[in-house]
Amino acid sequence: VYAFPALLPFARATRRRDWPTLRRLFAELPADLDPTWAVQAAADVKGAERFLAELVDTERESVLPRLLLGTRHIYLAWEARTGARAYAVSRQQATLFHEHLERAERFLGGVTSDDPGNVGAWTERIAAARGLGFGYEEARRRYDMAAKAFPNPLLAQRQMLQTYCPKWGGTFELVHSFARDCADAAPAGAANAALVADGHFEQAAEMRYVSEQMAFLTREPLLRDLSDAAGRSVEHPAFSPQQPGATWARGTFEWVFRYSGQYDRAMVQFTANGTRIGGPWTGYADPGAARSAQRNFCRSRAGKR
Amino acid sequence: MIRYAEVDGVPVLLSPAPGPIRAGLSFRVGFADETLATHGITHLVEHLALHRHGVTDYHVNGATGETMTHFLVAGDGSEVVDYMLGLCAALGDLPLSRLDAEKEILRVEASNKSMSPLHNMPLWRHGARDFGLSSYAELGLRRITADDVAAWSRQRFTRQNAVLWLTSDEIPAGLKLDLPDGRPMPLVTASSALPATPAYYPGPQNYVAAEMLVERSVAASAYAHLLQRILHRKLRQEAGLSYAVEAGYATRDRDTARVLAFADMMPEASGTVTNGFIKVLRELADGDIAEPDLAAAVKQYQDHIRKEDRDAGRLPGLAFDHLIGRPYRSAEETGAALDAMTAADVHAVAAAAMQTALVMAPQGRRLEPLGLEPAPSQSRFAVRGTSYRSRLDPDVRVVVADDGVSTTSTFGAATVLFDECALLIRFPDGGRRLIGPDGITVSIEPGVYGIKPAVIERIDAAVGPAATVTMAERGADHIPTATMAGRVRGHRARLAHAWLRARARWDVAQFARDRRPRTRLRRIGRYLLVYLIIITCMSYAPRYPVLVVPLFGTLAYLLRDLVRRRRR
Repeated sequence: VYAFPALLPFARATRRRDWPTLRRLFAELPADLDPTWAVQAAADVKGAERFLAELVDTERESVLPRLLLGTRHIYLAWEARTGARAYAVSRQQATLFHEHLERAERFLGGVTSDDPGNVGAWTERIAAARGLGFGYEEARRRYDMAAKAFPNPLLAQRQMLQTYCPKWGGTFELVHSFARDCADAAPAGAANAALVADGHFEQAAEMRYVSEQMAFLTREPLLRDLSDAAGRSVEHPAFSPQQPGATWARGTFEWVFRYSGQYDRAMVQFTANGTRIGGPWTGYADPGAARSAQRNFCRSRAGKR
Repeated sequence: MIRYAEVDGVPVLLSPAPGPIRAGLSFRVGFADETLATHGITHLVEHLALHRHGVTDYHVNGATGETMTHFLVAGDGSEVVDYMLGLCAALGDLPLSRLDAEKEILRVEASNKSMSPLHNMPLWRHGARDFGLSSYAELGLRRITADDVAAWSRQRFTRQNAVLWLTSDEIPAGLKLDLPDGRPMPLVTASSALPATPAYYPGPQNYVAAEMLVERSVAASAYAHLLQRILHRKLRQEAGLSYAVEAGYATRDRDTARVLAFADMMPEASGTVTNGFIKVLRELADGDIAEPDLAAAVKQYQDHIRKEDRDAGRLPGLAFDHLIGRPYRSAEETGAALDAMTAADVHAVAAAAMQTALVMAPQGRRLEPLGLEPAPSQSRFAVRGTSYRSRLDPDVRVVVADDGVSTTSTFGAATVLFDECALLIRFPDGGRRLIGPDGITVSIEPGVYGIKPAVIERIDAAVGPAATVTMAERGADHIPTATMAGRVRGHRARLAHAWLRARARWDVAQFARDRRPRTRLRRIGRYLLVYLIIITCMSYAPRYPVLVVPLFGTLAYLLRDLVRRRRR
């Protein structure tokens, strides 16, 4: 989120507990920007829940405080759960995780009832449905509502893709077909096509050894898939680095190109992203170190073959 | 067959039927016209008006419904006339001296009425107002005065709000309806406590039910018949899990009807039956309608409307329609409309109905996976003011502010604002219960929250007497207080949760630590330290037995580390 400088004021306003500014910023959001980005930026502030809970009680007419507080609880839920695999999550963590999600669900459910076109609330509700184990059909209903409110909602699509993963009870067939549908529906040069790469990353991440991952990612149909997706997004001339999903899209392609042995193409993405970290790297214990190690590796291999 | 006439400015609906004449004088007034603070007043008028008919040779009765109040009689022509004359006289001059006695009778009637499992449904859909009031006890009786009753009767039981119906060819000779004049009262508009539908609310473990709102039409009626048929087949005949499976259609107002479907089950089958029940609703809404089912349902419906004295049987309903200005439709017209109806029409009704559904599902069963939103059981916000912590559950607080009161807990807030409070229930011991228009209730028990009488008085003053009822003294064992056992339980729960949070935080820290890349040097340093402690403890333990504690601590640490490393 922080890779997109236009969102910094949102986090700053929450940190300063400045409701008038927050409200103004949301009112001034450009129509072509998915408001979920701003919602996440404003909610991803440590300790903001106290301020937001106060706002919910005092600003009774606005759905925004409830939306932000609900989103904050989604963050708190995952903070309690961590990104660990399910077996490594303790009973206490799971209890806390569910408590936060229940609260998030309550606030966000209220928002979507009052304002069924609130793409931010629907997007966060996909994550809540996933965490609470409602199944991907309910998550899909929520995604459809988000997509109805805002065309090609990248953040909702990313949430939905996660929900389709086997670790949350889906299958990779669902993941890939969903990613392909999203890529096809999005305009050329949009970041959405990177979902295809994200789907393959998710599948590769299930594998234990790098050799296995590379063998998987270098299969011919998959390489074609990746090339198509890259051609529609990061490698398309209309791809704008100013769009909020750009860092994530490039980061994803950095990873899949690296592990499919396309070091030249990976290097192009590494260079374009500069020091910004996005995509699969954020899942590493030390994202910066992991990314720069792989970038150096790619640099040493690029141009040779 | 129906014939219209008029007596003293009151419309009369006539439709012959065999047997004694059944007649009814019906007024366009019911619970839905009341407020929670006057709830019961119509019923009270009905009882007072019938008081003088207490002992008669013929059969008389009264019924107060949602939107209509009926005074019923069965007998020959002269008995009907006798009844109507007496009734009109009573309505003009209610025996108000009987007020307290009739109130008591109503209270007995209410206490002996069996509670339907669905009695809360109107409350969930409409809140504590208009159509939702039928979920509530007639609490208004405790504050209604003789003046209130007289004013209500003058306003509502008038010539302009009345209609007479008879199962007879002609009006009995000598019939006069000497009612006071007034103005026609419009039907109340139904309010909603559901921000989003389809929704569900928690009910008992052995019932599942759904109420849907449909536009009044033959297709909607056919939909109800179809629903009944399919539910009966799937849940009773095929699955064998339900005994009573019903679906019915009932008009609510001029254009809206309710379709209510219902199934019972054993608590252990609640999951299967609930899912099966909702699946049927969904399939119909998705247009999955089998032709033979529909044909059978239509035939059943056709048989029903072709019955000889159908109109006589539904005279009260026709009287209602007449009062609210909905045109009469004969059996032939209905039959023709039914013949013209297609499966697509029923599908359209089913799809629209599903969008308005309110489902009662067994408590604890979540229906989000089926696309249903929980009906709100909490307020959107809490008021900000002085808060009083419960002595029984330290997470629960009552907040008293200038504009309202709230109870807050980890589960959310319940708020009632003073200026929209539907009813304040006062107990002489200081307990208060505030009911908001959405049905949200805030209970204030001074014994539990330690609230001073001055604060209670402030709440009383803020709500005002117009929305306040005072209850009878509660028995000592009905007054919630903070017992020692309760306090201990509360604090133990709080401690358990604090422990849970601490444990979770520790686990999160462990996860972060485990993922941190460790250098070999640091690991060697750690082991050196551990072994140093072990050796020191072992060598000095004989002299200082207390050193056994760190010894076992470090050993446990080593063991744990070993297990962790193997798992990784």
